[in-house]
Amino acid sequence: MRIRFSHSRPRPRQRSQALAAAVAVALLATATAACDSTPAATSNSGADATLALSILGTPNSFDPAQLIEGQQTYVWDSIFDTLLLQDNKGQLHPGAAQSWSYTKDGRTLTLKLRQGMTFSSGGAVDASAVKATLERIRSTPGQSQLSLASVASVEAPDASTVVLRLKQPDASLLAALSTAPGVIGDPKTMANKSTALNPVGSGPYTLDTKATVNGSVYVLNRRDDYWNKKAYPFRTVKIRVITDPTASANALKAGETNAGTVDPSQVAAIKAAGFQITHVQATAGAYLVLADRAGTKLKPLGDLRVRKAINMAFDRQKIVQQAMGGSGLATDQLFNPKSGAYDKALDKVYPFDVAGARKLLSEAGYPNGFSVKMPSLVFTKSFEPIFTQALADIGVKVTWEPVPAQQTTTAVASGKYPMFLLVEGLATDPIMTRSFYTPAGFRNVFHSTDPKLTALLDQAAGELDPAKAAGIYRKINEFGVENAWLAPVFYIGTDWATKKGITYLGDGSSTMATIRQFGVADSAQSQG
Amino acid sequence: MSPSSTEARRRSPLRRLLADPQAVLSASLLVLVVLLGLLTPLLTDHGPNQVNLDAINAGVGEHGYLLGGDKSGRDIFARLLHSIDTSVVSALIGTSIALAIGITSGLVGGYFGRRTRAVTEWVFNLVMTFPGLLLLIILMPVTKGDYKATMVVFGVLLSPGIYRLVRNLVLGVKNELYVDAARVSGLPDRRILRRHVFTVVRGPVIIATAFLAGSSIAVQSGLAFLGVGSSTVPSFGAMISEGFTNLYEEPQQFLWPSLALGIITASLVLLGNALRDALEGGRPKPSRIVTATSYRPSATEVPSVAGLLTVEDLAIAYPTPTGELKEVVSGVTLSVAAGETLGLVGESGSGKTQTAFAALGVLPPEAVVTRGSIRLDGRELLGLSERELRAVRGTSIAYVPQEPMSNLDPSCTVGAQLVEGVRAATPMSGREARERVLALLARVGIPDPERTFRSYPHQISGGMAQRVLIAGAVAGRPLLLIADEPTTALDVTVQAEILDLLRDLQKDLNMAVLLVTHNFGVVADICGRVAVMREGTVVETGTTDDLFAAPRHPYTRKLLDSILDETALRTDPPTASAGALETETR
Amino acid sequence: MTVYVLRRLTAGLVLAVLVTMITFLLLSTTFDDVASSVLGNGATPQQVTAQKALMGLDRPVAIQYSDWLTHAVRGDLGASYFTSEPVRSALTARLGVTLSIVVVALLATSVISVALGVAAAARGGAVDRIAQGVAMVGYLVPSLLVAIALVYVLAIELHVFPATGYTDFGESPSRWASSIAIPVVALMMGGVASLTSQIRGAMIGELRKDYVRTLRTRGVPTRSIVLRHALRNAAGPALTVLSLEFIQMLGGALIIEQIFALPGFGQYAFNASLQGDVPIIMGISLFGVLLVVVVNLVVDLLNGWLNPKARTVN
Repeated sequence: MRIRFSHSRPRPRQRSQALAAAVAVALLATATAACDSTPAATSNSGADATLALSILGTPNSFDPAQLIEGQQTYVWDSIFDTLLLQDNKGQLHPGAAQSWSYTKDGRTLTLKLRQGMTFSSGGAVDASAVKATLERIRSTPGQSQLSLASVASVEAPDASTVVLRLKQPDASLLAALSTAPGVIGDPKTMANKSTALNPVGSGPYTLDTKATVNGSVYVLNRRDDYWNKKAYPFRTVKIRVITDPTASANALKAGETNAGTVDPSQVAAIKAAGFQITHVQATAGAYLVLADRAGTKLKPLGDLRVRKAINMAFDRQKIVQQAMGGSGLATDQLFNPKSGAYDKALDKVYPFDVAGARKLLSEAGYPNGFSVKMPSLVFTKSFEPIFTQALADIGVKVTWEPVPAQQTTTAVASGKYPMFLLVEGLATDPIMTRSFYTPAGFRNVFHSTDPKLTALLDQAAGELDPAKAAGIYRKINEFGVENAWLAPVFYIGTDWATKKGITYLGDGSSTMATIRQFGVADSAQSQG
Repeated sequence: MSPSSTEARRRSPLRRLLADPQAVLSASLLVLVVLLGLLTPLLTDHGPNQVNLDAINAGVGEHGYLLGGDKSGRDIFARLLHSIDTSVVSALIGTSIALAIGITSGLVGGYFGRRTRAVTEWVFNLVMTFPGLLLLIILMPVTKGDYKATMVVFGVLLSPGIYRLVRNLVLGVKNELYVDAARVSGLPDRRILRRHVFTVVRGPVIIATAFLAGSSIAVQSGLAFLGVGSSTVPSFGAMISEGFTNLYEEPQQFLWPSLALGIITASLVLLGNALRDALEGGRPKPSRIVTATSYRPSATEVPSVAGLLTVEDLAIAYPTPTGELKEVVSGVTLSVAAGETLGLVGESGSGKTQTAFAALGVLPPEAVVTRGSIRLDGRELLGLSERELRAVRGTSIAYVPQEPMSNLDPSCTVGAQLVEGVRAATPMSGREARERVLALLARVGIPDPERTFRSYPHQISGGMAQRVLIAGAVAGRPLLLIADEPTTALDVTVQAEILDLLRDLQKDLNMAVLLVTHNFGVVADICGRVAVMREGTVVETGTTDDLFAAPRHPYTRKLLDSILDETALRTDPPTASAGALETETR
Repeated sequence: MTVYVLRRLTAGLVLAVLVTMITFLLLSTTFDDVASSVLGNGATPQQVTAQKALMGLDRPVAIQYSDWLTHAVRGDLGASYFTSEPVRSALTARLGVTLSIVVVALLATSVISVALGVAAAARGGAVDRIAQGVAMVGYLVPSLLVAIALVYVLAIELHVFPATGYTDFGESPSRWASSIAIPVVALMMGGVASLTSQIRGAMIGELRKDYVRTLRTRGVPTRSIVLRHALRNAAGPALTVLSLEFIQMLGGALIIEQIFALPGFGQYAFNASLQGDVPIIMGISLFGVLLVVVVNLVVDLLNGWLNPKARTVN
């Protein structure tokens, strides 16, 4: 794979605001169709290329404190600089911060800023701007605030130095600074209402508010004076919000877009139409969360044998082959298969075995199975039939309770449902661990704890060396699989279609949505 | 009224429905669909949500799936069948709620006074104004996404449409004479509503019902298409939505449910149309209004009777349901001399009106002239084109109908209708025409012509309306005026005035008048000659005096005998009855 | 007349207040969800409480509503919780898109239906069979399928019209027209079918009425009888169908907007309802009420013009 730009690695694609990501993943549409509205522009050559991208959900406010991850990251990540950069492998690189260092105890992080950066309004990017943005984020409720929970104070001793003092070591902080919590807003305009729609940033592009139609088309123009210009080969980026996957496929075929994600079923047709397809094996996962591990609400779930039996109910390979058209990966695990925590061996723990599952259920005292109510969420709908049938085959009868979209978050978090199906974008190991395994994690709805796990979690939190941390996360993963805290079933893949001349550079290692994932293929460097 | 339509009306709506291929086809389709829905358990072993991973996107007939499998490996055929149930239940719930609420309040709101209406109006405006879809989605926590509960809400949201439809119809009908009459005669409101108002409302409501059922099904499908509601309820909408994402690869997954949904909705609407036609009587078949008879008498025939209007051996027939022709006028011969008044007398159904219409060239489209000839001033009228006839009408031959109200366009002012007629008969400027009409209105004895000119038909009395129609008829100074029972529909006190007016006009304009009537009193009053019709033929013709004095035909005698009773019952105006009695006693 | 219109509009405003009040009451039960939805996944209960306070959702509902109302009266409908886009301008822009499609579709529907329905009723024979065939096709063929077929042929293969997106009329009328062409056709299908049969039926009924014969006997030309008299009387019920059709099309626009990626009102409203974006939902209720009030007023005025009896009753 040709990488023509320095930069970037995966940042966790955190839960974006429930709906946009939800719908995105749900429909498998993962749609980022890049499109050119003018067919002429599709002959992307060199620096004049236009990238037009369609996304499934409407971007939120561009207030730096209210940014949300997900496909809308394509827009704000182009407008703002982040302190660190994530490359397509998920590795961290210098961004607006040229270098960074932790003190030994891991409680102080010092960042040195790059010189000569300017906001699109002309003002200089300095430490006070970084401090102002971080403090605004810390005082504004939202997802970014949560990521900075470990920060006790922010200092700007000089114009190019920022010091973050932490309450306790935070292994996920650096990764966070490469995403929304790490953006730099213009302190002069940040608090203005206008920022929500017309942001001032120091990033590679500015938002062309004249050509932009809020909620529909976002037009970005590259800044010629940007320090990392070579990572952004497209002079113009048009991002279109197209919620319907068929519509985005139509846009591609009609030449209104020149890149985008397509449903596996359409890959052949799109390929025939002259598009290049880049397959990313895993961008999201379908997990049956067996949340009530103490059996307080649904007694059977308190029994490990039951949880194991549920894990054995799924013919994962076949589901991937048949239901997902092969665009996915069977798994028993939670973590990104490209990450350190993933362990291939663990995928063999729960082979498909209906008889064995029934036997386990009998041993646990449920020879006739049991009934359970699960929330039917916007993004689980298309998978429900398969899960219902698989569970029914071992005697677990599922009733799906429709949940209005705006209640998705609260319904899952309410503790009303002892088990629930999630279709969730992959994130970094620390973030997935925090969500699913810490007692306060929002996916750990029943706040389950276990002494062995607690020890591992403590260890992970203090470990700032990524290589060592990976080993700990692998152990956490192993714990989760062996104790069947969840029944992961498959990873969902994504197929990117790009018009000739444009390449998609991601491979799923980084789940962050950034324009840096798109490169221009020269004749010399056809895709890798 | 054509005999065929009278006959049609007598046949039961059900029988008429059964004779209509559109109704039969759409109804059988619906019945078939519903049957399929009911027989689902017998037709398939597969549940609507039963998944077979091997059968994902399976082709037709594979894995025991008759129509193949969908993208989750479910049996498309089984899901279609189960979706029928969902649709039928949705339609039943949505429709019955909307109808129950809408009709009740529409009748109440339209029929009763202003205050009641103000209240219902207000409530329904409120309901109607609610953004429906939004409400359905906001209410999801309440309905739990259950489609039945959603349909209840939707039924309420649909009711304003029905309410308005019914209210408007009732308002339109409310002031009609017969309702007034019913009210004056002391019928209780409830009975008036049921008897008179409901019959008017019935047809439109039935067709609306088909639409309601259709839109209930459509909304249920639409919501399912959008993914609102339970995923476990099989529904065409959900199937279409799933098929849609798979459209290019497996088009049949989209096609089957779309087709099924299309067939159901289309059948509902077509059935609704057919039902309405059946209930309102008459086949829905359109017909050209221009009905020039194709029959053209041979030019060689020599007129055997001379006069201004000469009708000779005229026969008119209507097709029966079996396709044969049935004559209603068989060989009428009569003539009207210039300036003369001929009474055409007979019981209803004797063919007098048909004869009159034939002379005017306005027979109903299905009527067939089988033989004979009609000449006006020596010119053959049968076989003339509408354009040619138009030149004759108004100027040479004119018409005064029986029921004044229904013969005026209700949505046009009296003045406008008359002006149009005047200008059609004699080209002149609008201003001139207006003057002419005002003068005419004054001439026919309307006290405030200006005001009547500006009035709408419903704002004037029946007597006034008849004067207006007479004014319209004589505007072009016709040679012959055909008056079809011109006084029958009027109050007794007005009848005599109208007859006087006709007599005056006839003298003034020196018109010939063909007066169609069943009333010998009227005949005695103004007719110089009489033709008596029975079962489509003229049985006796003669001067009024002769005929009254010495009726030759037994039927004439019978008619004359019945006058006494009739007058007693009808309390005809004194002049007429006096005349009748006089002739009778003579 | 003016008084009548003013009275109706005033009544409409009262309705607007009531409807928005009821909407707000219904929404108020979901304020917790709204706050956590704004925060996204993983928000702590404390954050949710803080967010609720920040948005003012923790105050008594009556106060919140009157607050909204006083702002609304001044033309300030607030801003979206999620995008911070001012509601008024957002809705105006999106309503423009939707009304473009719906109004054009409605006009085209009326013209085609009247032409077909009248011709079918007045001419009969082949014309009638064609009209009935058109209606049948309209009922039977799913408009989605038509939309997709049109997109495939006209947009993907021939590049005559765009497959997705919307161009503002002000920007380029010709591109505006081509951007709404396929959506309009897709939206019209059902409407043409039902309105054509409605008009055909009503016209057949009208043309058999006594006054038609009387007008004929006065030498009034057929064209005038059909178009000036019969059509006018048949138009009343058709108008009611048309106003229902309007509402139906607004609903249909939602799906059409999705398939053509048009930034319309329906799509926006649907997403806002799903998200629980209170200011937008409130704005939509208000716009929705006013829209319906105006449409109903127009229909009633037209009805009054067509039917003198209804006029005197009003």
